[in-house]
Amino acid sequence: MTRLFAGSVMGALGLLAAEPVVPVPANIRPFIQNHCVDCHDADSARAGFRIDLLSADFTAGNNASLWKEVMDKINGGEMPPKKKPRPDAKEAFRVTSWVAQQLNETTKIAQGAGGRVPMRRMNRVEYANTVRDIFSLEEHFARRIEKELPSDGEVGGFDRGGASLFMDEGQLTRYMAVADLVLDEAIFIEKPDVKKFTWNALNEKHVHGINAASKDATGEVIDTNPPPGVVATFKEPLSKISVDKGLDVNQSTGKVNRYVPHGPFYWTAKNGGIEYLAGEIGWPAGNLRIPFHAEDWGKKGVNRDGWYRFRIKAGAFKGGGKEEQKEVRLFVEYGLGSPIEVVQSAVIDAPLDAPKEYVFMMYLQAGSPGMFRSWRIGWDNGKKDVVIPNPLYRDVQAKPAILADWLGRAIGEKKPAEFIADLKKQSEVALVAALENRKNFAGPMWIYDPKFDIANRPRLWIGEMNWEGPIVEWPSKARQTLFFAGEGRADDAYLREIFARIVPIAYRRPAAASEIERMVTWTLKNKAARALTFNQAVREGVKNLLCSPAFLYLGSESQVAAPSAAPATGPKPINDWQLASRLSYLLWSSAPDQELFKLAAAGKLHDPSVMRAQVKRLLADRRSTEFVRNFAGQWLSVRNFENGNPPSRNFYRQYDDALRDSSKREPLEFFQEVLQKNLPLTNFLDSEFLVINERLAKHYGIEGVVGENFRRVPAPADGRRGGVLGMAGLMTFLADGTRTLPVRRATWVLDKLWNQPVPPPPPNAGELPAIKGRQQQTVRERLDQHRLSENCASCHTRVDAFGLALENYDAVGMWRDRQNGEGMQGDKGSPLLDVSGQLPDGSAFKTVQEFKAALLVQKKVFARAFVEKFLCYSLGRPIVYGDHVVVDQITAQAAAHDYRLQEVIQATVASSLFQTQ
Amino acid sequence: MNIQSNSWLMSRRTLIKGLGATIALPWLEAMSPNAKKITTAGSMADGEIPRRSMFTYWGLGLEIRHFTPTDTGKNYTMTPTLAPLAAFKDDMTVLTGLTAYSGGHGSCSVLLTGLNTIRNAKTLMSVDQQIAAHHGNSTRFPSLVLGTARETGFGSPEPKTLSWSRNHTPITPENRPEVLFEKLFGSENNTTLAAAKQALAQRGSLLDSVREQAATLQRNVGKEDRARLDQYFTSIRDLEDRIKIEGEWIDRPRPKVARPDFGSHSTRERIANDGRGYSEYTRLMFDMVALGFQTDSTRVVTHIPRTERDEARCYGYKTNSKWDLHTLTHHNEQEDKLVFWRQIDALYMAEWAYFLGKLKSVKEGHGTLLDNTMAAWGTTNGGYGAHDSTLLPLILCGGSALGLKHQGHLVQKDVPLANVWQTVVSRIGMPLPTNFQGGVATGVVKELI
Repeated sequence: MTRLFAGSVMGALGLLAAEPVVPVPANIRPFIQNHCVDCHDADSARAGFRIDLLSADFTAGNNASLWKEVMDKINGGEMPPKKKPRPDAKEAFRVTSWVAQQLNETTKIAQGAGGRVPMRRMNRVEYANTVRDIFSLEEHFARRIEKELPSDGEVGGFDRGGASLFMDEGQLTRYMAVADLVLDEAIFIEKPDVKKFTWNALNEKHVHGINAASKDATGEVIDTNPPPGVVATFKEPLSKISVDKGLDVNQSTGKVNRYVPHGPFYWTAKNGGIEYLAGEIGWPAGNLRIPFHAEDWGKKGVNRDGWYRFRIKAGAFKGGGKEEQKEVRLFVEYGLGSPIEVVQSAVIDAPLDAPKEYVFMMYLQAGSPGMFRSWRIGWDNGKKDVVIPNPLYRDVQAKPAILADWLGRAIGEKKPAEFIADLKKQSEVALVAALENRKNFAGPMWIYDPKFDIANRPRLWIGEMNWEGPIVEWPSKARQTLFFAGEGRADDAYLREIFARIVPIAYRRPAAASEIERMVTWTLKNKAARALTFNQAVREGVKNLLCSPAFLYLGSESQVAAPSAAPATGPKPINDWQLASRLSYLLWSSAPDQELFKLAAAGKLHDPSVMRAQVKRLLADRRSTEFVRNFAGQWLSVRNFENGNPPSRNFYRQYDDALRDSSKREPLEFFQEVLQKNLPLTNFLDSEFLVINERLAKHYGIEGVVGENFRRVPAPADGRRGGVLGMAGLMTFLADGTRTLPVRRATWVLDKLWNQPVPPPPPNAGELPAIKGRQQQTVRERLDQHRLSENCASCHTRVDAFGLALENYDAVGMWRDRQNGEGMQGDKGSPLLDVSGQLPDGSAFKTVQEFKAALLVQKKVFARAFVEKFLCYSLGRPIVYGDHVVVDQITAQAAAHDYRLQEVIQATVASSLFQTQ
Repeated sequence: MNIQSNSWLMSRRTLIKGLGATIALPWLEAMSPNAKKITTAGSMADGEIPRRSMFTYWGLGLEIRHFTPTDTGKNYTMTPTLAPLAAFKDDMTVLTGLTAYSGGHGSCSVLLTGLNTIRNAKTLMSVDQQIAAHHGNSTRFPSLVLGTARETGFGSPEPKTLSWSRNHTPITPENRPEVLFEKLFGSENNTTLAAAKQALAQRGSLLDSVREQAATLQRNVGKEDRARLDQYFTSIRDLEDRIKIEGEWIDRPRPKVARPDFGSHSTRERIANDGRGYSEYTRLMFDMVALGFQTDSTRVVTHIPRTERDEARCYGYKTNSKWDLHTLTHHNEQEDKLVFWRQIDALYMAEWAYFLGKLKSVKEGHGTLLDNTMAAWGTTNGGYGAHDSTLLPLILCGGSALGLKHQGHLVQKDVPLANVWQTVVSRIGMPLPTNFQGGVATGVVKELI
């Protein structure tokens, strides 16, 4: 580290003044005098560093990096050097936390665009939504566009910060590529060739794994029920085939001597379809999967993104008695394991004897050309092996089959000839014996497993399936939007009209005649120069528009006002067009709609009552789910849930995909409830209700919640769940898959709920050492040890309580009373958890319930923190000290309304910061 | 997904079966000292040896006690983890004890920049891009940026790229070998060539137009926003430079390499199983890199063959590991976990050995491609278990014709990893860039040169 010092300090050395330009605060100075100046002043300047000259102005030169070094050195115990007297830990902490705070402020100032709302490019979500709304694209297509754009950086925890939404060569290249994608696939695409297929399970016998009819190499068919005397040729070793299929075959002639009845199957052909009994044989155990025409359907059927329709006739019996299932659900799966995977399911509620048609509409993507895409329908019945080999028959066939297997392997592995010869002999002997035994075996080969109640087993009947697609409107809405007067005309005047319509929409403001003319001129010039058709020329023009700065940059709507000779640098009110965009990008993450444009044109948006009504309207619109996805998704870290280490499924066996997906939705569904019902913010700290589905209810030990859809249910009386703390997804994210991370949980709570980000640990802090050997320690006990180091203690004593309070939630958010994970099972042998602690304000708590109650007492702190977070999201810049007046105003206004969420939004939108530039 | 995991695995196996067949790559045999004669690639002059470099990052590091040789020097004793590299013992130096500015999860962005971490939100240019800038347009592609994910991960806790541009922005890696092949060797005919030229001209014209629009906009906005638009102008300029380079190369045919059969599985499918598809995928990517070097299509490459996601899933089909790699790295000194971890390290190391073998199999000048390529196996995850930024292992391979003097096992206790890059840069023969590695590097590793 000294090397860094030496290199970077040169700037400071250049200063000749004896005093720093901005002196350090009085309460910091004594520490520096007592512990630093000895070596780092004019006399010695060890490592070329003079702290006596270091200015407290963090924004000047590289002072910030130098101060950071100072902080890291003290934190890390490197400075003062070991031989010198140890500083008082509290005093050292005062210095390091002062530096950390100053650094934080400096960063904010640097990113803050001088308190203004910076002009910035759209982030990728906003870009995708904007294009979607301009051209009426499918939601799926919009999400694909989003993925095609590079990910955005963040400021203050959100991807709306001007400072991080940079533009570079890569970004611009991708804008061009995405514009091509939109133009080629949503607008100028050829009329689709709608494909239709019909399929019936009856014709797919071979996939049922029963070898009912299998072809050999010569194409000859061996039937399960061949008349005796039929000659068959086999591609597999005769012994194996004959034994497996219950055919008694003359080894020299290949003639079938006798047929052994197969016995029951787990399926039956019935009424022009197939009836399946829960529990097929072999694998995948307990999950019926029928791949159909696998490759053909994917490749020939889906060569274009779009909606596809499946109609499948089905009926079901969900079983009776002990065998009864909750429901029989049919899955249709496409492209499993690929980036374009789609799975849809339906509960088959029609009875077996009166099947009905079920319709699935699926949005399918073609993926890259030639990509393998699997196609299956299936039924997860969780049962297996309803039909088992007749134990008597097994005796007959097992030995020769095993020997044949061994023989094959031995040949493959090139074992010694004698060894192979010996095996061959054994095999032949066994086969002869088996065939001999079989003469006395009347069958059947298979029987129902007697442990099941067959009459009451669940059943699924599948009949004919009709498939068609893509089902699209053609010409697409986007194309109709663009060529608003049809496609009959190809004159320059039409081209001008087209751009006169589309340019203002893209610019989100009226366009000057000169701006439209510029676009038209370029397009016509391009058309002539490259001999383009009318449509091709329009295409290039629109591509240009989608890469133009007025489209990409939010805030450029200001350009519509007659530009003053000298643009003002201080805050000034924004025009109605800017306001319309600011509002719609805040609450929809997308462009303003017609109504907002109309109000802006009429100059009415600045009217507070109009604005208030618009906020309500926008929030009530479906597009506001994007606000939830983007604001709450980032505030509550949902976006990063999958970036954490996934739980070890070996230890957390209950953790499945359904839980992962549900716990990702929970925070958003909860936020949506608070937003739409306009509930107080305090619900995020603790609530009397949860918004969950069946899978989460099971995880939380709550009964009576059935189905995948989320709904509001009363929180259990034990107070273990409620608010965001304790949500499974969040607790899983704040763990590392095998163990909880209380410090990470604490810093999350302090950052997200208290808006008091904890300074990062010194670079060499390292991780909490894992439990070694057989020691049975809770994380708290280990943290306590950690705190023996005074340097660590200074920060950790203040922070840890916020995370240790949540120790009752294990690494997947399950409730626990004892330590689990890291080799401990959470059983009686594992230590009991102690989650007690004390908040910085002195309030003590013993349980997580008391912890949440203590947080609620400080709801003002939380509300203010929330306002700061939301304001940061709204403005696209960090909130700095200078904003405190507005933050206070918004918080006070919200407080007057019980801290209701919509009031926070209303007050923010009405604030001077939101309405100026 | 409503599929139980085991059935899923089974069905995956059948799906992936087609991947089992080894893809034979059409190697350009008998390379002459002057690659141009055969491949018409690059601007390599007769007898010139391009100074190539390759940087890789392996998330979560490895079990260093099983990796680190007990003795030092050229005649060190091979360790089980290093065993797959035995054939290259003289072609490489095993460095141990290095440190990085930051380690652990999400620290790949620090590897080549010295300082970029998600915590400090620094953005510095990475060393590979500095090297690429030095090589300039002497190859068709100044650099290749590769990884297992086709995203930068910027803004999330897990960055997924090693390369940061001269604008200090993350560069998106390519993760599809077939696309990479197309990019490097895609064949042109007169029609496609004309279309490509047309597209290039079109792009130039579009850039002219949007620049004009931006200039108007810039006149009418405030000071701060004007500065913001500067980025837009810079992007246009950079892109125009790019077009210029492309224009210079467009009439020179790409090297002719027969297209291998890439199969029809997407990258995600390949690495979504228990390691079966992974090896083949990784080797295909390495093949592309080797071909790129061999044909002088590029001279510097970064690649993340494994993020912290453990793409090979612990090679489950071979090891039957009960745990995922991350759990293994937090082994708590439990022997049953360490056993798996060590086994897995050797399997991953075999992939790297494959790459070295590929380079070594190609003759170039008086030596092999490996002699003319400095290839680094790197990570910022060290320590005995919890993957932090100390005790980092690094294997610097090849480059002996470029002046690297391999030392066997070299202990570099607490030496910044950036010093190794400074050493590489010195062998490229370029001046040390200013503010190199954010000031973290303190010099070269003298023993190596």
